[in-house]
Amino acid sequence: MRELEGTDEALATLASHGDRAAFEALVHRYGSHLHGVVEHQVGDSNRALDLVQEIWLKVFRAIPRFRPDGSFRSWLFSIALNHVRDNARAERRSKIVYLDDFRTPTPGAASDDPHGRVEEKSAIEAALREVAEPYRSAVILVDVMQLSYEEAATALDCRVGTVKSRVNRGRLAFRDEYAKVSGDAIDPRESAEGTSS
Amino acid sequence: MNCNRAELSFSSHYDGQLSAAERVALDSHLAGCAPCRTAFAEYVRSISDLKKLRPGPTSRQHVADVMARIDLDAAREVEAPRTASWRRAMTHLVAAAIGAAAAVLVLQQMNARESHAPGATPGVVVTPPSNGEIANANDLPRMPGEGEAAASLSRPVRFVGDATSLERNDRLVSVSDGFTLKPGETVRTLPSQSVEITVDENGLLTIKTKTEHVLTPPKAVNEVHFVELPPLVSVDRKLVTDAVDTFGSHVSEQIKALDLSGVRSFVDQIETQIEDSIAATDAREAANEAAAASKPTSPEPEADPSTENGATSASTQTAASAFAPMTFIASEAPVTIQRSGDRSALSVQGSLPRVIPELIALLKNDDGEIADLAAAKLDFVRTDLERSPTIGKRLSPLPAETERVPRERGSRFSELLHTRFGADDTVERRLTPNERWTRWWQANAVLIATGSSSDT
Repeated sequence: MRELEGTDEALATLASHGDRAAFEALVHRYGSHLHGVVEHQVGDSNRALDLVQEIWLKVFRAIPRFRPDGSFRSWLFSIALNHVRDNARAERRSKIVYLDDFRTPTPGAASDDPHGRVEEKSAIEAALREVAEPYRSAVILVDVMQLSYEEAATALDCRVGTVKSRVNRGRLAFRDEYAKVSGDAIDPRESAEGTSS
Repeated sequence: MNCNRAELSFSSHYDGQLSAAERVALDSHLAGCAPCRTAFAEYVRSISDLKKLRPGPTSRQHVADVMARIDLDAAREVEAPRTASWRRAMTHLVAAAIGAAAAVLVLQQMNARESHAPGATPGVVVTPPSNGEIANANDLPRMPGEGEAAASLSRPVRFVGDATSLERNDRLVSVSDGFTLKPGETVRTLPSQSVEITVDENGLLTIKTKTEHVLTPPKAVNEVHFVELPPLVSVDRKLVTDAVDTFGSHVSEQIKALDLSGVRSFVDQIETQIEDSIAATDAREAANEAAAASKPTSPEPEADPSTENGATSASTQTAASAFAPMTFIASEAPVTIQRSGDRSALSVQGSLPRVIPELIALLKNDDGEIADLAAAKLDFVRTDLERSPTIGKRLSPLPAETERVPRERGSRFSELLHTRFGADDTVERRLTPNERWTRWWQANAVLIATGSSSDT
């Protein structure tokens, strides 16, 4: 694979004119990011991989309509989050049963060791999954994917102030959840507003 | 600043977006409030940990998978007209070569071979027609050769088909029709880009690419290892093309094999019959010679033309035992019939004046095959006699198949329906074989009885 230099927007512009290598470079830049965002949303790596392929396919089809005056990654994550949302909605309608949900837990996984201290990354992921939407998406985009508030606002299709508010609540909720799963006792506060029940 | 307001400022403080005044106010609150100080420390630590989820670089495999998926999607659009042309081509090929029925046979044979062929094209699902109806998804072969299915899979994904009675692994899990997991087994469902080839009852082939979620063989729980398989790029246009080409060559090979095997089988059968017949004849002749040598010669009775319409002579022996060409049934009967299942054989022995009337009598046998054999034997005898240098030219010919007879008044219409009227008020009447040979025998019996004996 040819490594291409240039901004995301420049690559996206090339890709929008049929440059396959440019599109591939974008996939290389954001493949793992996209997978991360989706995985944190759906909570399953395999399912996320499937969705990510569908998202890239969507992006590939839509990229001729990409406008270079905007942020590519905002546009990318916007498509991704919409796709995940649509997919979740469709799943609720069709009542899809995932066989993976019935898999015996792997030894060492969080649910296998409820009384001990779990691995740090698993704890972080578990805590993040407990953060309710739309706060989780905001936190993921800003703190994990390191989008600016402006970019996150574009991706989430809301105002910057709203994103800031969501990020703050999401962070507080995450802190509380993280303390729970990692076994730390922290001073209980009334910041549980952002947690999912 | 109180504690609630302080907490609401945590985010902006962390991001460095507080104004100078706000920062001073918060700092002074935190300095005097231990719980808020701890809470902020936890806040910072948790966000710091959260950033650990930031993904690393994208693997080349992932990029390849994504691009392959995109290529496959593009290939599908290109393949659609190509599939149609292939379908037409294959339809013509199959129809011209062997017809629809043979095509079905080819596919069934091929399907049976495919499932055991080690080098079969990965991911090719060959679907035999089931009573002319193309199977639905449940009827499609779930595991078209386990290795083949696995070879086209890249990673596990969800199962989106019908799933019933799903329970945990310590109980039976029934997934779709006819696929049941035993305790201790689990099922992974993997995407399979496959080529589905179907043929309908008219021999019309349909070749299309599919993205099926194919059940993989059950694997033990906790021992599910996914081998690094080729990326989906192996299932792109090239695979589709190769699969179709492979299928096409398989069909033509099968057609050749079918024709050859059919011909070979037929020839073998004929050769066997001929060999058996020769062996039987040899055995009979040897036995005849032995019998003739061991018995005193007795004068042959004179032919009795009066037996023309008589029932089968008592001297005709029917051997109901199994037809055994090599087994000669010793008998003095001039005509012997041997049967084996629905096959019959007829053999003669003795002088012609004894044999011919027996054969003529058999022309009226209820068994059409016996009558035909008798007619053939008579024809053979007549031809042989006509070649005789002593009597050949004096023999009366076999009467024609028809004769003209005066029209009988009052004949029923149905009887006249197939008659041809002549100008002399005669009608043409068809003779039965028995009548023709009887007349022939009546005309030639004496000559044959005297001439043939003197001939030999």
